[in-house]
Amino acid sequence: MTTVEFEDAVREHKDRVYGYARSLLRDSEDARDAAQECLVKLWQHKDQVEPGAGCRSWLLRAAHNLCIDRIRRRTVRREVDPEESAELADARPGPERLAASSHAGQLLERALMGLGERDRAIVLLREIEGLRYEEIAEILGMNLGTLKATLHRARERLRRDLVRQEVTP
Amino acid sequence: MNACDIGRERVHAHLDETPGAALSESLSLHFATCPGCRELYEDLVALRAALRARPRPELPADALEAVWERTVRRPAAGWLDGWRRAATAAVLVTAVSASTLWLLRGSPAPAGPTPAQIALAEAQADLVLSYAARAIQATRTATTHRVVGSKISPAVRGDVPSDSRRR
Repeated sequence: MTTVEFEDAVREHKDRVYGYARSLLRDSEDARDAAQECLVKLWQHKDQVEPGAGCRSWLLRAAHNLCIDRIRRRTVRREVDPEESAELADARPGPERLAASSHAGQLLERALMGLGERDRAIVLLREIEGLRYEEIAEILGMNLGTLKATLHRARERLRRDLVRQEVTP
Repeated sequence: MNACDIGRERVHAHLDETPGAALSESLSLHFATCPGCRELYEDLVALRAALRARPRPELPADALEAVWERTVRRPAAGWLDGWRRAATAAVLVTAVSASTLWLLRGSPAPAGPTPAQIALAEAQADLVLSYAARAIQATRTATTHRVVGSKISPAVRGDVPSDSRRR
């Protein structure tokens, strides 16, 4: 990947990477740092990444791994620092939800954030980013059967949550 | 209304394998008789559309600037960056060490004593060594006599009468 191709890739995927990180981390500052780190990582590996669809998949994989690292570190910090834990819990009405234009949008965000990290990642990568199952399986280190079964459960859980709140998805 | 198990599986399979594709005839026929599955399918299609319509947040401009600063705007690595710098340093250190050793080895010896002084010193050393050799010899003889002599029985030495040997 040349420098020009790198710049194009950053412009094309920066919001995707940031959005994914924000949905996974539920924290805009953390997501911003993760997205930045992810794009810098692409620069460092630009000789090994082909521009195009492969680049999107590479970036989402890198973003996922960076987010999971942050979530793990955050879990450790929470165990150590209960005050920080309280701060993170207070930040629950996330920016996504506030940005959602409608009440239904807010409820969808809440339902999505109610999923576990892995289930949420699968829904985001498949239903929003439209990645192939093989790509998602590679990113998450899962086999295809488990991946599909998890996605089916997550879809139905989202539907159930929305129906419970009398929102037609 | 609940979807039936077989229909549920087929609904998900349809969404998995052929996103956006038209319903198969068999699935349409199934929906005609199973309103629960039809409802599930419609809800999941709407859910996917709603998820894809989610507003995508924009990466803040200052974060993007920071990315450019850390990547394309960063000065290109010079010839002496990275491993080349380490290699050059290693070569320089080796060269300096080698040249220092060479200089030390090649430098002339400091002015020494004259031949007459050396001859005198040799004569003195010979004298001291000869005294030392004589002293060592005398000490060795005395020690040998003291240690070995006490262990040799008088009979063997021949200075004891034969009848005293039997006692």
